[in-house]
Parts: sequence; C-alpha cells; structure tokens
Amino acid sequence: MDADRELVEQAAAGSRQAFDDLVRRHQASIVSLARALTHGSADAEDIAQEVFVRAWRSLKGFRGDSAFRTWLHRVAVNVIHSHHGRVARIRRVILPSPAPSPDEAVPENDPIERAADPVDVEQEMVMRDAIDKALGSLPEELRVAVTLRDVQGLDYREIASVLGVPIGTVESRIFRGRQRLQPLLQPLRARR
Amino acid sequence: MTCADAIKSIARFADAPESLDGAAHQDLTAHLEQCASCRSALETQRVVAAWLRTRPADHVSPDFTARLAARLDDVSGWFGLADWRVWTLRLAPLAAMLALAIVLGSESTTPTSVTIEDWTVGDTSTASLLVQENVTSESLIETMLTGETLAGGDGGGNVR
Repeated sequence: MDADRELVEQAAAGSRQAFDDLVRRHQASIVSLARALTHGSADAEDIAQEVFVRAWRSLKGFRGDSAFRTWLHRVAVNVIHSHHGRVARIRRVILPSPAPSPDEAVPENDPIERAADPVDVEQEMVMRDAIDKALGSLPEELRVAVTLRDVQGLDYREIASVLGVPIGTVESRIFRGRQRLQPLLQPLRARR
Repeated sequence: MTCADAIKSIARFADAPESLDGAAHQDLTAHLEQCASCRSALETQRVVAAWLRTRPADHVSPDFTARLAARLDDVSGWFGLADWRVWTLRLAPLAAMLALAIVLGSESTTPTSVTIEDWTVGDTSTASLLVQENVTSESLIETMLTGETLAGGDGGGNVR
C-alpha cells in the first residue's frame, strides 16, 4: 500500500496543498539523492526543486503502477542525468582541454583526505562529503544503483523500476559499485 | 556454482539473505563455504553498504518549500495555460451558460412541439374537418364538393 496514495490522488486533481504535503515528505530524500549523485554539488537544492516542478507537471500522467516514491526517484534520476549532460556541455565549451568527466576520473588520492581539509568543518559534513566524493568516482550507472540502494534505501525491485532495467542488472551494478568503493571508503573506516 | 554465478547474487545476499529463494540460497551458501574469494567479496559488500548507510542526512534550507511554492505558482500560471484539461475545466461554466441561453432563446420563439390540432384550430377548410371528432361523412363530402363548410356548426368548429 502506497502511503502517499491519497495525497497523490488529490494533487493529481489539482490540489496544491496535497502536493505541498508530498514535497514536505520527500524533500530531504530528494535533496540527499541530488547531492549524493552530483558529488555534493551546491546545485543540489536547485536540482531537487526542478524534480518537484517536473513531478507537479507530470503528476496527471502518474498511473500508480509503482509507489509515488519510486516514481519520484525516476523523475529525479532523469533530472540529475540531464544536469550531468548540461554540465558536461558547458565544460566542453568553456575549458580549452576538456577535463575528464566525473565518470572517467580516477581519484588521484584519497577522497577522504581531500574532503577533510577544512579543520573547522563539522565531522558530519566531512563524512558526507567524503562519501559523496567516493560515489562521484564511480561510473554513473554504478553510482546511481548504489546510491538508490544504500543511501536512499530503495529495494532491488524499486531500483529496477526506477532505472527500467532487470533486477539482475541492478544486482550486478550494486555489486561492482560496492567493490570499487571499498578502497575509497577504507580510510573513512579507519578514521572512526 | 561458479564464482561468476555467485557474484550475481552476492549483493542481495549481503543485504537480505532471506530474499533469495530456497535453491539459490542453498547453492550460494554451499559455494561460500568453499570459496574464500567470494566470502571476501561478501564481506566487502556488507561493509561498504553499512558505511554508505551512515551517510549523514542532508539539511534542507528553511526556505526550500517557499522557493518551490513560488516556482510552482509560476508553472501553474504559465504552463497551466497550455493544459487543455485546465481550459476545459475553466471554460465549463461558460459553456454551460451558453448552452442554457441557446435553449431558453429557442423556447421563446418556437414551440417545442406542434400538433396538427395547433394548425387547424379556427380553420374552416376541408382539411380541418379531418381532425374533428363529430364530422359526418355527409358533411365531409358536401364540404369537399362545395369548398365551403356548412354554417351552423357547433362552437368547437364542428359541422352539423
């Protein structure tokens, strides 16, 4: 049973109040997803706003085949993917020699060490930043699958629905993503 | 089971062993007992997942909702104009009023139904005799021959 169902029906019928309630329920999760998938970008809130704007526009087309949360994550992944494409295009135009995309980049050193530079930064922020940077070193398809599973807490079936791929593909992506993250997160483990 | 087969389900096994069905669970468990490499991979899966779950929640700006509400107002204002469903709803009362006006206007100028009696009331022609109850064959023939109704009929226009 989708806990959001009643609000979704009201919002689809045009109720802004109902949609505002849905936003309040899911905004932290979507901001978190945006930040984790954009390497802790300062644009995360703007991206999250775009997700909700698109959701509001498309809500009438939501047929309820999946839970609202799953559908909202699908919208978010599409918006974030578009954001990556835009950023890559801007980089190509602005930079004379294009920098490697985050998906291609190999961390030169420990992302934990790089994230921990400011001494006065709260431990919580350092941790989050370190994890986001480690995630950012993964190819996009692995990063999205691992983030949806381990940061957002979606189950395998939901992730398959969000990404439009078989569950076996989701399992494979999560396995490979976690294996690659292990050496990057090891310093974080030692730090605690 | 080979390592390649085992790898396909190790991630899910690490998260929730019970999510694998009986046969798959048994096969993987048997393989793990014999394969140190896959046991190591399983441990890595559990450790990394646990660390990622400790990622602190993000704080959302206090004005996030207000900013979004302003954007949604804009979207509703402009993109709403392009939505035929919105137009349909907004124009529904106007359409209903127009339909009502047309119906009322037509009723004031044209009777809703016309019967043959409406056309023959007060008419003294031969045709009018056809719808009169008390007409006799004699008077009908006489009227047809002469082209005139007979005088002295009753008040309802009937001939004698």
